[in-house]
Amino acid sequence: MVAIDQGTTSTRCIVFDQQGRFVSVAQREHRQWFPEPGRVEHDAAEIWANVAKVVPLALAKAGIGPGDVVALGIANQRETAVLWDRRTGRPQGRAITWQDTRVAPLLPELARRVDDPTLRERCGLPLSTYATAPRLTWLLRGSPDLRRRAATGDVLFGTMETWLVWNLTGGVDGGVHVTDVTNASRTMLMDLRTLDWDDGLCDAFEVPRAMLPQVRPSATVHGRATQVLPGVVIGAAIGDQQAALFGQACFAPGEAKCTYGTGAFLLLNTGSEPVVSTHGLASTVAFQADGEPATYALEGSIAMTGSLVQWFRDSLAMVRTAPEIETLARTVDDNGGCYIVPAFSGLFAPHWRPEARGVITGLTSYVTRGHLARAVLEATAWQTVDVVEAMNADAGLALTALRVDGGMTSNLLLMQTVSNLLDVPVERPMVHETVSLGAAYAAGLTVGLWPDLAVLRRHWHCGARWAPDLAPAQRERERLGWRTALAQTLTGAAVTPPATGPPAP
Amino acid sequence: MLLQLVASRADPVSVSDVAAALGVAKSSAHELLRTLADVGFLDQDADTGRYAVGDGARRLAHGPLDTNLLRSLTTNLVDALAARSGESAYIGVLRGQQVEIVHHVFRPDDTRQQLEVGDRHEAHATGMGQVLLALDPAAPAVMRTLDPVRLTQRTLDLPALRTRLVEVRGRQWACTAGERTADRADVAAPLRGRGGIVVAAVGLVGRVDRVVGAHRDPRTALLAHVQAAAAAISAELGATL
Repeated sequence: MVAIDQGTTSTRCIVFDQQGRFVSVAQREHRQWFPEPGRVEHDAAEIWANVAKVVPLALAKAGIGPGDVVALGIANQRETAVLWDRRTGRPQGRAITWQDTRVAPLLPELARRVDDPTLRERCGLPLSTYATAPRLTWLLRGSPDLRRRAATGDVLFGTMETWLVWNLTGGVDGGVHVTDVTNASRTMLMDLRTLDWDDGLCDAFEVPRAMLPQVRPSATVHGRATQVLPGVVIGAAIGDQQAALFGQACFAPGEAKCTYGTGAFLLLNTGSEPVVSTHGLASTVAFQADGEPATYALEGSIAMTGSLVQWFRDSLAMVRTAPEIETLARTVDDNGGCYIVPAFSGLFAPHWRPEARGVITGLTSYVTRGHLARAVLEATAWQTVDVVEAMNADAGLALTALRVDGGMTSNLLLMQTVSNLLDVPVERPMVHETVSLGAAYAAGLTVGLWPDLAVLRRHWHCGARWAPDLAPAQRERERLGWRTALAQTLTGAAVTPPATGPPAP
Repeated sequence: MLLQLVASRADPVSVSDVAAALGVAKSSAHELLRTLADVGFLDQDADTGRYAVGDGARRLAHGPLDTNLLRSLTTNLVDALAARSGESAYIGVLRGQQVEIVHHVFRPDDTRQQLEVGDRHEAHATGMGQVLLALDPAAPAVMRTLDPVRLTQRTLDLPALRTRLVEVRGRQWACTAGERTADRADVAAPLRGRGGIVVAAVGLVGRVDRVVGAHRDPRTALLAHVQAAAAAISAELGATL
């Protein structure tokens, strides 16, 4: 099984064996373009070229050829918009990524056209700079020529998996123009229930249907590759966070995973019906196999987790490397009464207070670097708790265990703290590469390498487990401290700044 | 002295600078600089060929290897070791006469297991411990005062341990069966950082009958997994530590 993980910073190809075990990996980073503040772009042609490089490399490392590959699965960065010319195959400008905030000024006007409750009910997402649709509005408004060619279907739109499948299946020479339900559910143009583009939303965002790919299940035969892996079936395409949920074998309602990286993404399987969030979360498609109903998920993203540790390392110079924050935190037994709320650019899910700013509370002369290190790690744990509690409230169920992955899971103190504050066990899988594994699982299901989800569930093995180990009274005391600090992020923002700035140096 | 010379200059130095400052031939200066560059104490600029103080020298000021950093650098490879071997995988470091577990990946059989990170065992009675007693730079001092506690019938006494450590040094791996607890066996190999210095050990622990054969030799496949993991992790550590 071969998986391509087309991520935000790099493109990786991973080969797995029949038991879903890691065999080999090849990786290539692509350039990040920052043409203006708030703009983050990728060169789609460079990314396609990287795919063509990493796949043969990973196969060579595994000692296999294209003939040994059963199927290919693709997982990808979500919400990034690529436009290209159907006839030449050339991208029309650079891809606008999910981190790009250029469309922020458009949002108030768009909000008047389609109100928030309708949007949440229909596509599951709150209006924000994350989703793809406003980027298309922005792009097509910027170029009458592009709009004309989009209306005739001469310019095509896709998220990254669409672009890769089109190229893999021949590009200008018969390339298939498709997306999957998980990626489509992040565009803000798809109806969560019909699993197809919604005319009302397309109109509101001024997106012509002719440029949109066909929406397909995640696990289905998307086509047969003619490039890179000639003859190999593309058996799955799936958004990276949904792929991680699948790779973590969270197939049943109530099962959840959290991926801890720069930020964190928590997804909870909610079963066969979308749950419209009343607690500030996104509702999204988790997975769909060919001929089967879709599975849905609630998603909560946390902006600052690993990036808070980076700030602690780089801006405060408290530690040399990120993992050493655990060493520093273990020099003390508790947070010494200190709490950090990293609302550096506002509070996100589930609070959504963009005006909030970060705070450190409880500073006394007793507090040392070690206490601050604890407070940094606890901030990640408390943000997880806040999202989980919102999910429990939305879904009407209580999480019984949390599966985790991502780089921060090697921080054992953090994982124990997450378990303590959530009061549920936290489990890390043995295969770290859950995104690629999820894509491989989905593709393997399509081609019948694995008969059903039960077999995949048996592939999941626990690499490490943390059980809650904190007295309830202590947890409630800590919760009060966190809540108090959280409230101060809002009062702090309300104070008017002094009329004069700081003295000039 | 050579390091002090390089560190005292604002700009990177050339071989001729060093030869002149030390009053030695350019070939000797070159050899000295290369030696220090090979262990990471100096960095050589690829374009100018000049030398500056390297990360390796700066790290000297940071004290011993941070075990949390070690774990985060090795997670993927130790996961793969446990997945392929079907046994519990560990990384351990020498702490006095004991080996401390700094990383642990569960055996992939879905039984309930406890994370053992932070546990310490008598070094002389475990494979990881014997690897470190044979090869860790701190081991000679430890060996001078070691009085091996007898934990099982098979625990080695001091003379037997010394003989074993000579073997371990020769073959670069260790295997114990029933030396710490009667029912456990292990296989371990050294992990080397920059300059080839042993910084930790990686190993598998499992039931005696699963880990060793009739002659209490490690099963071939398991030994190969441990050696492959040790080589891959050392390559990673050599590039970063």
